[in-house]
Amino acid sequence: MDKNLIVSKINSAVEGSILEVRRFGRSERDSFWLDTQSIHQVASVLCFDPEVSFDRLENLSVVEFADCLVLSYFLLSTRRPESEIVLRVSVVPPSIDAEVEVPSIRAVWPMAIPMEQEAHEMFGIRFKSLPLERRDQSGINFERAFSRRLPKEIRGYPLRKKYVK
Amino acid sequence: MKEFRRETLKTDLTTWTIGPYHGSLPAPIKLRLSLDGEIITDCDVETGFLHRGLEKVCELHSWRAALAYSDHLDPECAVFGELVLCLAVEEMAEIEVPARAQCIRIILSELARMSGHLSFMVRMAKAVGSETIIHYLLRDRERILDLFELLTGARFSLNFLRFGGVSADVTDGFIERVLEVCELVRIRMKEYNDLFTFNFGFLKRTSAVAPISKNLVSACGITGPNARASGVSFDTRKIFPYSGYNRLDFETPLGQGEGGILGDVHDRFLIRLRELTQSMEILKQLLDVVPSGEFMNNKMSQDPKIPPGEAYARVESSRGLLGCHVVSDGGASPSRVQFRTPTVANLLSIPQVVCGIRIEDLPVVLASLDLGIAEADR
Repeated sequence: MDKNLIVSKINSAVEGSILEVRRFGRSERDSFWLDTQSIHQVASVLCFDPEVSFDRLENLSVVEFADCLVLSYFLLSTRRPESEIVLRVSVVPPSIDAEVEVPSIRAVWPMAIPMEQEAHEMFGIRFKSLPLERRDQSGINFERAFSRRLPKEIRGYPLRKKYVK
Repeated sequence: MKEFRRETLKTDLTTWTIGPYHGSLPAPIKLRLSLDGEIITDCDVETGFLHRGLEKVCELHSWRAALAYSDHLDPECAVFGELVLCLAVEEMAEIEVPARAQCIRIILSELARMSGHLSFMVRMAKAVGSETIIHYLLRDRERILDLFELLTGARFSLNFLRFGGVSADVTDGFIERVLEVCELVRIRMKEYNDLFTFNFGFLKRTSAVAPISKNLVSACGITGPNARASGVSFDTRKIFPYSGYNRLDFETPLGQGEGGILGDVHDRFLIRLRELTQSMEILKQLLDVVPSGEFMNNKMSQDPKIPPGEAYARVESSRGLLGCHVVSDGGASPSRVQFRTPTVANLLSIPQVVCGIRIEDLPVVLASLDLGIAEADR
């Protein structure tokens, strides 16, 4: 898919939210580094705009680079199956065991629910939730499935680099 | 003669908690069910009972050891965890894989898919109470595990793939044995059809039960056979081909609603039966043209140095799209290994899928979702 079209769609959601556009690793797919607070509005446009229609969140991955937590959203489109992009945002936790807050995208892509739960438990990222936006899913409550990976007595966030038992 | 009077059973809403370990559950999960008589009206799902810290373990060990640990992502189909990590690292480090190694990888993948689908059928047979069929299915699956043993020396945790190829070449007689197993499974298809597809009892238990709509597939991010059973044509092997799948000619079977409703339990069963045939066709194509040459990139050392960078790879496992995001800081061990597993989406769909079914159908519906809880909990 044309990179300029995606850039214009992102800018139509939140003007100036793109910090950088670059290739993801050595692959051909584009990654868009965004202002963290704009992720929900950008996700909404990319999902529901028929010209781009990235309606599938394939994966949400969190990586720690030099005390900075980077969230990567891997998007696919049902209409154009070969199209794929990566949205990326970053947050810096104030201390090794402090939580940070990021806008949730579960209202746009319900499949993000278990991924956000895992990111919260493992990295201490709290996702600020919003009402469900998906227009064809009225009445479906996706919050009924949840995962709990860690025993309650465990403190801290195990996948952070400076985690100490 | 005393007139027979039907008594009406009046019940209130009740709540049942099942799990995490229960005979009717295919994997350790906890379900909190609200029941109106025998009808499930609401369901909460809790998972995480098999969490092993697999991603953290990968960060704490060498690249070579991380590859061995990725075997344990899904013990039933171990090769997919290895393959997706290999593909990600090879993309990141720009490692070339010889054509012969790629061919061996596809052979292993398709054999693992057949083994995974036979395991699925075992769980379905158990759920509908057909004990005899379980033995027939396990008998055939043993033949596939024998092939793994012949090639790799192991039956479950293969630990066979390496960055840049595979650890050994195919042994004498392996290709002939694979063809024999394909022929055996082809003959057995009639048996499977008699025992499952056209079996009146099995049809009654599976037809028009717990359908998954296309909307639910899209909302939950369901992939693999469960999505294809609902008519969603998404196959990673076709859309993002890897390891030479683009050179192969195969069809992606889709659910056709033979059970009455598209995407019901019967469709989810039939799609796997058709994928068994599809895997056999792929194997036959491959075995005719196994390329000669090296099975391993000669430039790779036992403990390779991986340059800084990141990559994301995906493969079509027997349960759906399996992704892997790998990050390297140039050190001796991975900086981050993150897996995207298909079962997570299947778990998310459970509350929607089971609402409205009868409690007696719950084991069948859960078995039909093909939950690989080991890969979901990691």
